[in-house]
Amino acid sequence: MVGRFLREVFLYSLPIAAGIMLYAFSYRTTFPAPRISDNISLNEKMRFYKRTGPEHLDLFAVGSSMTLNNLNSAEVIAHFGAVRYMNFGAWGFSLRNTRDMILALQARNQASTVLVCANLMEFSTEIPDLPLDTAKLMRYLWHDPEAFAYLREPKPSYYLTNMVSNRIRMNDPNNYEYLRFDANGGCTLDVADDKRPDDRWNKPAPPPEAMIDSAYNDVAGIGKALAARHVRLIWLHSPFREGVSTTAVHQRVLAHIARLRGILEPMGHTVLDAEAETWPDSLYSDHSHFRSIGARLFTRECLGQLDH
Amino acid sequence: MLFNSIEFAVFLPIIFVLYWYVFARPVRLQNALLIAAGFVFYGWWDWRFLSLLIFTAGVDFLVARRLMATEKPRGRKALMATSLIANLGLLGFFKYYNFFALSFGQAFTFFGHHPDVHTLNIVLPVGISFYTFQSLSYTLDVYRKQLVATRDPFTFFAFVSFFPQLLAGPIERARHMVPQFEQPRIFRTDAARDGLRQILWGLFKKVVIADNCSFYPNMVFTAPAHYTGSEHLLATVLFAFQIYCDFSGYSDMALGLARLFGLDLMRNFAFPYFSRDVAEFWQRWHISLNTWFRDYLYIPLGGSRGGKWIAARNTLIVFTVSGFWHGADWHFISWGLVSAVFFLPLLLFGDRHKHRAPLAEARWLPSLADLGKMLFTFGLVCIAWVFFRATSLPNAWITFERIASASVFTMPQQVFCRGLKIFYLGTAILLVTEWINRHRQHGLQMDGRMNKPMRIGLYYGLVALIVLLGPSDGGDFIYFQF
Repeated sequence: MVGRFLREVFLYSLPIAAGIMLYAFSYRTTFPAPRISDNISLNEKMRFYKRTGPEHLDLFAVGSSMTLNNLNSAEVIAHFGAVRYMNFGAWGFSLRNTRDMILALQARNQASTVLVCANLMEFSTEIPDLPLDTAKLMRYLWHDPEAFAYLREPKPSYYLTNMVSNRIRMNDPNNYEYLRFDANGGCTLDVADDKRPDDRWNKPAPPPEAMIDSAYNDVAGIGKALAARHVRLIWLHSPFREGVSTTAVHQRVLAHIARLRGILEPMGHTVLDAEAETWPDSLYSDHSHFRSIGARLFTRECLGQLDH
Repeated sequence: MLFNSIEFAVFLPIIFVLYWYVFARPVRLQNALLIAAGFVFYGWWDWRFLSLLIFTAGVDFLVARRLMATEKPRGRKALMATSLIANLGLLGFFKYYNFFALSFGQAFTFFGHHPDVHTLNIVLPVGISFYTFQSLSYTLDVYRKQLVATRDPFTFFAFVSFFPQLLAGPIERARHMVPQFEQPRIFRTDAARDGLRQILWGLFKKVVIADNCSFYPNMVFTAPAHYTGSEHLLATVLFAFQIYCDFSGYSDMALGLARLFGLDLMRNFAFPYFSRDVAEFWQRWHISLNTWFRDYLYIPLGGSRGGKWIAARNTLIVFTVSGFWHGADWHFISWGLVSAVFFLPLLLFGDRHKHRAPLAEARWLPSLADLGKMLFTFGLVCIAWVFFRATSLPNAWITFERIASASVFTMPQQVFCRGLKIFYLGTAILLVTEWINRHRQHGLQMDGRMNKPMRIGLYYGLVALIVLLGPSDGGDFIYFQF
């Protein structure tokens, strides 16, 4: 009787298993990375690095989408020469997340230089800390086989939903969620005007009351930890588009940059900004994310200052 | 280990095959396998807390054996007190220590003293309220001579650690379960099939409905000051469905799983939102806990034997204790009190058993009067849920203030987001299916009414909804925290 029941269950389950496998197979090229965090862009980035990145890096970048989208990989390589470089930027990374990630990566990589690209948003309540288990991320990067990571994170609905969304993310550069990385983990963002929501385009700079003072402690924490390891931190401040950067905002940004310099430069680190230039709206995909041409010009402008 | 996890999908077939093929005879071996399975299942969460489970069950097993050996009233009372202290002492320490420490501190502060109150960073062992009450029911029954204590520790430990109901019930009665664990089990294909249907229905309720709407009550009740009256109202209704689908979904899965192992657990939910008054609601909601309180608290307090006012006092005590059982916080106690306030008029005016007749018998739809009563009862229950879900008593008042304000007439945000669209679809399926099956044991019981192709289509449809519409971050069951 038990055997008959088991046979029955098995036969009924076969079409379900076959259906799921066929469906997944049709999306095999955009099947999501193991769900090692709640952040899809970070998961994809970790898999990308695990599959393609060199084990040791001379230079890496960590941060939010400012780092992911506004730091142009070609310009970084052109400036630093033939270095092993990876951009670990991921959506929604707070400064606390950035600090944790830098320390976790640096423990293994021993890079000589670390880049962080950010603007005022990371210092405001608009970017809260994401739950981030760096030990889990590092275990995935260095120890677990990829298949094992899928078994550790068995969330069928996550994979089924995101394999559909990834088809857009990996193939439509005009989309805000575009996630096809260049060879160094950077990602361009060329959102078409008609796909750009007004609220993103017109989003103002975070107001003074939304700023978090303790975020500067995280910056100091990053600076101190890297200085102790004799690693150079290069902080790039990314500007708002011209239409958002009012005089009042500009003044606040200058004060912010001065404060960053006050924290980081005594430790031997560098803060770069492009506030002396005007950044026309045509270079942007929204209030703060550059189009690919804007990212190239911004990166070139900032890194060019290192030569002087 | 969660029922809705891949780990469990691997664990269950292994235990099932071992249970019916390798450990099938004798019954002691089968029970040993169930104990091992229960320990793995529980230890998956945190193996260190297994010691509490073993301690509780060990004390109760030994106390019950000693109770069988002595007839002296003083000795029996001392033994019963040992069991109560061991069980409720552990529960009190892990669940209520900080609450009492803080409450005493606040009370002293009120009188002008400022004591140095120490709270502890205590992790609440998952399921402790459930297995403690279950184990305690055994010694209480043996003490009252309603049950003969088992000589076999395997039988008793299998009863306490039976994995389908270990973490969130139903809180079984020893009288019902221990005899089942003493008997050889027979595999019944029909019962197993129906068990699978019940598991599927529970999974649908949990994954498609509860997990898809949970974000909204979480968002509103965590920071109630930031939301409008309409958003509070929507969050309250969503929470009513969330907690029902989450908890009854778990119970359905537990009952279905038990049937795969040839065991019958008691029913825990009987379509409570179809109740026509609050008394009927409490006969249909979390039945195992409510009957536990009836048997071991309400009746020993005198029940309704001393007249209406004594019955009202006892009812108030039971509801208050029930609120406290759910959590060490004033908002849970308030939930119990408010529930009592809604219940007491029915008790005092003699209407408590008015709706024992089947609902809309031989009719497709409820009468308008019944529909009105169901909606009114649902409204009262929702008022009580606000106290239950709020993170504190002041926050519960914020919810009521907002709902009573003009902002209740504004459009709530995210009302048509993906998660809520799935919720609307899932809830429509839930209400129709459970209404059709309202006189049966669970929402997907078939009784051969539907032809085979339609039945199979329904199963595959539900599986497709679970796989495709379950949110990627669906998680724990609400009642695990109790």
